[in-house]
Amino acid sequence: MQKEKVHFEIDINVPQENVFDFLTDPKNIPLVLPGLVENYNIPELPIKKGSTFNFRYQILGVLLDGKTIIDEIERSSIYNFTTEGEVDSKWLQNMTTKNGGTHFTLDVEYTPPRSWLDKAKLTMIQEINRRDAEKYTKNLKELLEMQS
Amino acid sequence: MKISVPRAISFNTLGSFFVFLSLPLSLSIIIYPFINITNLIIVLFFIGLLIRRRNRFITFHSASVTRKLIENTLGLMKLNYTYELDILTVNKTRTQILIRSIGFFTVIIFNMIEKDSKREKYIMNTLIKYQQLSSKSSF
Repeated sequence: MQKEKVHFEIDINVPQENVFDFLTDPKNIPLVLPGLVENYNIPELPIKKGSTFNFRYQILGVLLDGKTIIDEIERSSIYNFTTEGEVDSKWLQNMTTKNGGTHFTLDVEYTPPRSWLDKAKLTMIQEINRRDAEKYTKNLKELLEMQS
Repeated sequence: MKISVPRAISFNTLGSFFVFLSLPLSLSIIIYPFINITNLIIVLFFIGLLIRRRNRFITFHSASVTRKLIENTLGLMKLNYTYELDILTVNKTRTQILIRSIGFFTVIIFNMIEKDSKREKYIMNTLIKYQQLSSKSSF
């Protein structure tokens, strides 16, 4: 099955720990990821490798449910997870310190479900996902810099 | 798969809908000249133009629920605000949020301090997004 990839990076003017703490609390993510409606069934924090929770994502007015599984988590630098269900994706998030702030890197690999492909053009979905990922990094910067 | 029903619509979208709806209706006069819908077209067109304003939204719940959702979202965003004379002000950006009840609907008006401020736009989009959520698990 065809896989799509998205890559973004951004400098955020807050300490690396703040970015990591924000990202690793699943209830924060709908604040910065436009298509994500909610994360639920969130386990007790802090989440660790193997932790799971459910998500609801909206694309083209359709709600998709699935499960997030934490693959790798290393305090303040790495937070990787995969999603299963109607949307299969792999998220690699890396944080490094840069000029007292954080350099944040995002790589997303996803497989568009066949049912979408029947109804919509792949390029449209690619564009929506690319825009969502870009907004995710920009919103993360705006919110965390406002909070600091 | 479930279809999502929006609980908050921008006046810009609603206004555009009315304006564009008036166009096919105009064509229907040619096809069905015996039906007098000219007045409806004119009304729709001008209502559409009138309400097409940015930073205004209509929600389908009461003013108190709307305000509660806004306050909960600002709490989640860890942004301080003040509430005075029916105006909610976000301290960090000074963005003002007015909540007005109109019958079964509620109108949210954002008064932006800066033009094209990314921060203010982000706050507005997030507060409107959370108006769509009915699940308490999101807070």
